Amino acid sequence: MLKKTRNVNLYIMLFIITLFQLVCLFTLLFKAEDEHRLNIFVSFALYILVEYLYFIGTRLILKRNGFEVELIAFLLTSVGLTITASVYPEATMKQFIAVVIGIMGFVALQWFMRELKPCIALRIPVAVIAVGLMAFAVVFAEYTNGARNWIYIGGISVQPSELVKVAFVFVGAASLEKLQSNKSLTKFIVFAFACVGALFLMHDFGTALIFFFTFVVISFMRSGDVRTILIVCTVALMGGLLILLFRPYVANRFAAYGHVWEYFDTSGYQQTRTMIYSASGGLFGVGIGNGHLREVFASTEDLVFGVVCEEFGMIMAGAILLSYVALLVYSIRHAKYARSTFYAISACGASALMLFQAALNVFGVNDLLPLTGVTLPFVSRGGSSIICCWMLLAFIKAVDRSTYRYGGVRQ
Amino acid sequence: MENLEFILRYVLCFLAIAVIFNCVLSLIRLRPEKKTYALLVDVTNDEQFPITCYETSIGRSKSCDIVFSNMTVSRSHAVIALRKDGFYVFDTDSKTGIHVNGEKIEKPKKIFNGDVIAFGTAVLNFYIGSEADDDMSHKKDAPIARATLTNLADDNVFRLEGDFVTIGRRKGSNIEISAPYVSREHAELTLQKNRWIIENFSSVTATTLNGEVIYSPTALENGDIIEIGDFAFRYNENR
Repeated sequence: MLKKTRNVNLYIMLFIITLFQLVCLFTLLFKAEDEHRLNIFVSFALYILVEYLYFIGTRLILKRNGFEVELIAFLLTSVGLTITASVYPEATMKQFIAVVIGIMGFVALQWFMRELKPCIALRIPVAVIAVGLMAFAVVFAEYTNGARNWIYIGGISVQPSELVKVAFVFVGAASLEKLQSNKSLTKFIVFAFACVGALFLMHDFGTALIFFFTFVVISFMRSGDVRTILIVCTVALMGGLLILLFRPYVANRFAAYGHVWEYFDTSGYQQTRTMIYSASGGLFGVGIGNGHLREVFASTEDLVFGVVCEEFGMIMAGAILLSYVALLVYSIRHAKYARSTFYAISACGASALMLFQAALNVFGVNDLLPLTGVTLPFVSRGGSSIICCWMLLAFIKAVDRSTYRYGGVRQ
Repeated sequence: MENLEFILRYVLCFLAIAVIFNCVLSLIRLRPEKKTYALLVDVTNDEQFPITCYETSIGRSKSCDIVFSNMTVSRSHAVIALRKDGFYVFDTDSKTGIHVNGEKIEKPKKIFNGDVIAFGTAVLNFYIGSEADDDMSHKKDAPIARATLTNLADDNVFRLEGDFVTIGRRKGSNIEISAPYVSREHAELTLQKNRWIIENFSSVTATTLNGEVIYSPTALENGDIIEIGDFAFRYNENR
């Protein structure tokens, strides 16, 4: 549907990304200890192979054009994989496997969404599974870093709330029972409050905020009903205030917000170090493996933006942020011409979710917002997070009619 | 090695920026190509409402894609949706309902080229545009069951039959136009490989297709408008 001449040249971009990855790999291998070199090399080599398989397969077999969205995702994932390999080299293969699962999820979800009918049919089972997962996490999850959102199964840790993000966007967009005529948000409100309530019980306030923001975006796009959304927001605000009133320990978690320098060595430790080391990176960074923020707890997850600033430089950090904005602009541009309202809402919901999560992460470590401990999409280390991000990307791809060359939707 | 590492820092930054900026610029700059899948034409004043989306909302509300100020039209009255097998009209809980060719619809109804759709007292003709065929690919290769040219001035319908149809001032032309600026043999339509092709023969007055002058034989698409001077014809085909 887009004019071919204006798309970026896939092969040139793929060549540049490969160069980027090879430079990262070369630096990592030079700095890594002997015991980790093979692990890092194999992980990167396989990652590049998967990347080529995806692009060449979709270009030559499916004859698709327009790969900007995936190119950005692959580059950001490369940055994340590099930081993981640099700070926790032993976790590189694990992170790579999660990336592959994410990419497979991305391809599978894109394929599944080629027709509208199965999406609408599966909305209730997906909603039930999502609520079940959250309930399971509330009961069985263990406390990790202040939040009870991790489930350990056979040595593998899973964060159900990350996977439920995909289900949340899917159910929110697919629960249009009648085309445009049913604007009732009741069922979606119940589903959203079940998810957000579970997250509050798990003390995962950052993710709860992301879910709520996504709920507002999807609700507004579905109904255009400002009054209902204002009522819901007011109720949510009052609920939040009640929680702060009766559960003061929740407020204590954000006590340092706004004046972290007063808590330089205590609760403001992460934010102050992030700001100092980010600034010391300058425009081009101090180089992979040469930073100091890597020594701080959660440097590859919550503070990863600081590590990017310090080791890769401010310019690249700014470009990464720009790419989240571009994904949202792309979704909005294509929403009007999407094959169905489902695709428009899910793409805008997914891209808004990612942008909001990135904003929480970046502003949190810089003390512009409370530090909520959310990940930076595609860049932060974490299997559940990277799988979620890749699957959310499928919604963004699906909004573009050219993704499905033969177009048309069966209803 | 330190010098190399120093250089690689800049190289890394340059490579990442090259990819991200190119992709971001492309994402921001690219817009979906606007297609006119169908046309709604108000029968009272010939006002045209192009249908450019897969789902087009119709109503009195300004948030609708096609807005009518007619008070018999509900704020959110209907949706016309393009599906794989054609167009459907959905009643979105309107007060006055939707009538297709005089019949009130109770459930989503498939609509066809030339159907008359009434939203309240707003009555419109529905015409499927050529670009809708791109998204109904299964119809493209089907044989033409019926092809017509409709004179937009008097709604006179000329059926295209045989292998060719002539248009001109000459008596005996299949479509005879008695106007001095029309050449005796002005244009010809020929059926080739299951498509009607139009060719201009006149050097006096141009023949235009959808507003563009025809310089070479051009395949006609459903809904195309052919103009010869003041005369305008709409090409319709059923496959």
